[in-house]
Amino acid sequence: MESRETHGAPEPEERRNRRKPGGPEVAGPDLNMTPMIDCVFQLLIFFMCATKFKTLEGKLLAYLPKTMGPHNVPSPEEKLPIRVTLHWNPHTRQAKVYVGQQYMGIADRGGIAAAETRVREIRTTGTEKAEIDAQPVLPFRYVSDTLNALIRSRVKEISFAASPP
Amino acid sequence: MARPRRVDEGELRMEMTPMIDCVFQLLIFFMICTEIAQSELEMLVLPRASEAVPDDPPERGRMVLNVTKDGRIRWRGQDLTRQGLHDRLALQARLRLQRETGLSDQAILIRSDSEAEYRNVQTILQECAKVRIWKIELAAATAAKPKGRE
Repeated sequence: MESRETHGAPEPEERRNRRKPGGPEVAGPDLNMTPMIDCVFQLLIFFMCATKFKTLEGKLLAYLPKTMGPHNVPSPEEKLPIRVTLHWNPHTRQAKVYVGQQYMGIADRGGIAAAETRVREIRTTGTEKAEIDAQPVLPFRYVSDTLNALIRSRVKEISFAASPP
Repeated sequence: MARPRRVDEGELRMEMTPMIDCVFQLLIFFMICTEIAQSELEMLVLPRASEAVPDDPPERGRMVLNVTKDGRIRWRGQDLTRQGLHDRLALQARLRLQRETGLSDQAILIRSDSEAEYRNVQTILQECAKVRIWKIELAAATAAKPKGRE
């Protein structure tokens, strides 16, 4: 009877390493997987780290005015900045947005987008400065969203109102 | 076909490969852990901003201040009090003071958690203004621009 080996079929590992009855243990030509697994793990770690470092953060430029004190008082002919006020209600946990005295809506429900539209309209009159007046208890993301909206509406100078000490 | 190798009974072979692998894995693990521990960047949820510009390359010598969700101001893994913040900013400002203008060219990156109260960022802005630092950047996660906008 002809054996399977003569047909060139792959020999199962169990059969190759099987101890022959009465004979010594024979180690077959085994494939060492360890280096390959190592390489895979090394690559995995490398890519995990590389992905983390590659995720770059962005930034919004919020340069402070270079003038201080009495020099910062606008001259009479200079137009006042567009004032965007953010009022936080801790009970409802909602932020109200105003441009000047005009109510724009709840920040999470299109208030900031409405403010952006209004700022664009005001800008056509020649005012190129805006000021964000936010309550200290307001979550920072609303300030960031407002700053983002003002940058998008192409306001040239954006400043932050200081709260009284 | 390779001839099967005979294994002598009683021979003690020590496989070095797994040990070297473990050593290398541990080495990498500790290198990464050390890197993260010394990092200036805290794990924060930054606000998203479509107009954020990539922070690439970051300005040399820039000071990174982190504001955590619970309102702590952290610099290089340390909590700063208001006085500590003022002292640190004053020191940094002096290093890059422009004598002609009296302003400091020291850049500050404020990384605030999106849910942190604005008062903490405001504190940093006020302290920066006191020591004549004007180059302020607010960190933001970049977001895709909404459709239909310029």
